[in-house]
Amino acid sequence: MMRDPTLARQDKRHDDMTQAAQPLDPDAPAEPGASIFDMFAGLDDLAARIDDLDDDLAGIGDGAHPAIAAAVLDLRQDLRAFEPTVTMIGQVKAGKTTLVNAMVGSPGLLPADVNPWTSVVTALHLQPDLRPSEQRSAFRFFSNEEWDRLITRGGRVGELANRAGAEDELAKVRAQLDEMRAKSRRRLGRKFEMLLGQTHEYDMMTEALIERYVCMGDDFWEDDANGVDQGRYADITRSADLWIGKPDLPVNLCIQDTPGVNDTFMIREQITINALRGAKLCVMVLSAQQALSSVDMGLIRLVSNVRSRDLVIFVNRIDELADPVREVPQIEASIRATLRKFDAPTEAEILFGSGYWAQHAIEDTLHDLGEDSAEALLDWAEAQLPDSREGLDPLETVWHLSGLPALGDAIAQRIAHGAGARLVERTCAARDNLLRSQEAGAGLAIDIKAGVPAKLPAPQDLAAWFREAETRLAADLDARIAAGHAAFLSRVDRAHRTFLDRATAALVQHLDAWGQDDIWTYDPTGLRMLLRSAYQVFVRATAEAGEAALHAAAQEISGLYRDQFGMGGRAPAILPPPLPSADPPIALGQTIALDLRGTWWTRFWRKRRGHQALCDDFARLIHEETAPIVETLRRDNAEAFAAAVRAELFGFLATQRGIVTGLADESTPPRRTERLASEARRDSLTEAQARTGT
Amino acid sequence: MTLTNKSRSRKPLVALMGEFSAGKSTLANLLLGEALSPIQATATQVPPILYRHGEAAAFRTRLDGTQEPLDPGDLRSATPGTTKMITIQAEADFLRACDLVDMPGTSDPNMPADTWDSLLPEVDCVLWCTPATQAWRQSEAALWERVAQPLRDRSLLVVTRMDKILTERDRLRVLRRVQQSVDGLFLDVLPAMLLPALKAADDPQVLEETGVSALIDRLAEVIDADAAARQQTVRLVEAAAQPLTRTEPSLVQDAPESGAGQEMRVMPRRVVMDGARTQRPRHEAGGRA
Repeated sequence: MMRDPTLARQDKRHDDMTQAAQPLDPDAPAEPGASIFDMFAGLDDLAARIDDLDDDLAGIGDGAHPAIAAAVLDLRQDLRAFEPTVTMIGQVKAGKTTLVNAMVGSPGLLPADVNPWTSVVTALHLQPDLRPSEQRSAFRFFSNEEWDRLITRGGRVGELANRAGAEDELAKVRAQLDEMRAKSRRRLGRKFEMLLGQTHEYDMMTEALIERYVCMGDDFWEDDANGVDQGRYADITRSADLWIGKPDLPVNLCIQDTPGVNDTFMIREQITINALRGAKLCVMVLSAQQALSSVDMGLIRLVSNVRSRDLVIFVNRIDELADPVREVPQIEASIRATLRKFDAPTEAEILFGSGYWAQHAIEDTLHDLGEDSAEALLDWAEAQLPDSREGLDPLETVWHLSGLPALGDAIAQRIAHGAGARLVERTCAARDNLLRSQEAGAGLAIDIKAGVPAKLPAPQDLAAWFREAETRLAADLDARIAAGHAAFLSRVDRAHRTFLDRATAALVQHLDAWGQDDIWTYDPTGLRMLLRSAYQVFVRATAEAGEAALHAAAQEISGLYRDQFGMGGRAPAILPPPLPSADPPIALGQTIALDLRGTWWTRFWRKRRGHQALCDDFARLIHEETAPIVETLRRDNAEAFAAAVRAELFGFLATQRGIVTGLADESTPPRRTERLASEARRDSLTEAQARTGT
Repeated sequence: MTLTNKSRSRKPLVALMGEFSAGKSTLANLLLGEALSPIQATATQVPPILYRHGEAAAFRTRLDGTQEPLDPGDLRSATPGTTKMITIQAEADFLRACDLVDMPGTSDPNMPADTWDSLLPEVDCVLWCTPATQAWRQSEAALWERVAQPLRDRSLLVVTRMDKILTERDRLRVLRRVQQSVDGLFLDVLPAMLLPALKAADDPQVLEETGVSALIDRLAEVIDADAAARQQTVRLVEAAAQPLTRTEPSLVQDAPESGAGQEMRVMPRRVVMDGARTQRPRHEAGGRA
């Protein structure tokens, strides 16, 4: 599907046409079976919206003043770069990789195996406009610091899930990591140190490459002769990025596959948890055979601060159920009951399906399903297919039954209402501003042509004006953010104290009433709620400050047209851009000791003697346990959001500066202005980022 | 909880353990030759079920230790909140050699994590069930590591649901991986296809192919050794010497119910099932574990 092309795109389209006459690259992945395996049709509306916007922008850019044209180019670039991400999470061997392969429409793409192979976070960048010859891949290796961070900043699923021995897991992960590093060092020799922190990039994307970097080999499978190169780098690879052309897809989409939690090789779990930090939209994959175990619950708790509409639960492998028709409703009821009982996001959508069926539909190998799976499929089909569906192509029917189309819809809907809606809103505001600036520019041009003595400010005056405005507005914003930040910290502090006072009072009461032999528990939900509300207050305050700053900036630029350009009442009313959204506070999902009803807490309790010792240690414990959570909340959430708000202000001012400066300088050759505008914008963003350390 | 003499014989105690839905109940039914154990796709919140030899009966032990009769068709009325243990008496031949306890599945978020802690000291051998499709995860490994070494040395890891792994090569690879990761933690690792075995429970060839014969042999060795060690008089039924009475493959449903002349039908080598009395496990009942 082709959207309205820019110049660059037109070239490409031309290429495409010449290429169409020639035989396709033999290495090119097979075109997915056109429409029937299309699961993201739910993104069509968003794609159409983006197309319309792109058309609008192209129209504005066409023959526009160079400064406007440059801004148009930037915006169209943003549209093209739009790439919502969906992260697949779940336990090891839940079938994530098979599912991802089916979602991509290429069953053999990522190696899915009977043993856990995925050890790397793999991002599949699916792009409708990417030609097979443009497919590429990049593999990034761990650095020593990143390995350390893997341990120190890892989440604690084990504890959340009350997994046995959870208290000793960190030491175990460390030992496994050391062993793995030593093994890699032996295998890779001197290259080992050199490789760390590097990225290997390729102008291709082949299964052999993926195997070499992504798959842990079967080192226990000695007869395997072809495994020499396989998994050569897998245990030092941190992430893999694959760019794949997918012509059917309405918009770009990134699917992130993770190794999964609860593997005995616990580094996989740490890698998965670390990948969750940036995740906005998650698909939690469960295995129908054992839906929602305590480890799954631990993982759900970890992401429970993701807005629940951004969590989709996919119960995979229903093909392995003996009687899916009877069992699926039971499983669903059981999942819902458990979610309710544990106060987890109950409104999360729950879907059922089978990546295995989807894979066979795509491969057209239904005869290979195996007897049990085929039988389950037939039963499921009888119950699931409405009469209207009869007589459809069998592959299409199986595809439908695999649950993948429903999963695609769920994902599409969330993107359309989330990241997609934000992109559209943002671009609309920018487009409207461009139209207004353009109109103003046209007014000025007519004045100049008509010989009306136009009063154009000198470039250096404009530069000075923008510098002053930027400094002042940023200082204002910073002051307000700093105040909000201080209030946030003191709220957090108060939350701590309030919680501690209440909990200690309860503890003392318990000790008086029951003595020390009876183990006391106290629910830390209150503390979480206090911390969450502190964060929300901060987000609101920062958003207000940001809105005020952007509003003021827009007004002052309008004023600039009015006064400096002498446009008076004809001056354009520049609109402020929408605010960026704040990340959900995932850190709050981390366990604190009070969550732990198991051995850890018992051990803590039994070790202490005397009321005072217990109370003191308890206070210290709460502090030590919550400090890292608060720190993450401060750094990853609060400060990141403040930085995003600042970047928005700087970006907006830079764009406007490019346009205004360009309009003022009628004599500027187009090329130069164009570069100025986009460079100014980029510099400003870089500067903003440098200042905020993101 | 300790098992009082009233509920326990002096036979060795074999425990079925593993995460929920790992196949414990299916294995119980297979060993007992009767669909005695409730099987469900979702976690089943049932207290430990002790099977012992005797005239068909069921009762439950309340939390306070008192006992009352229980309707065998309504085991679900005995929830872990009110019941310490369910005891089911049956005349299964397997139970002549040992008592069997089916433990609640681990990793069930709705069950306290330590329900089986108190029973474990009395157990002589654990059959830990792990499904081949998601075999041996950290949540299992961590629990098992807490079990005392002598018991681990007498216990078997049963890799169930092997029939879901479709090729011989892959089955072997799963097995190798599991063997490698549990090295030294079990006496042996045995693959099994429980459902196909249940479907054709009296076909020796099927039992051979599904790994169930090997599993029962190995279990019998352990029990024998254990029994010998305790100088027990109860021995496994000496049916091993009897010739196999049925060799042709047939589905359970098709098998004619045996008459008087054929009381003893031989399960693989050592464990005998009483064909006349056995209510055959049906496919639906063994739907899924």
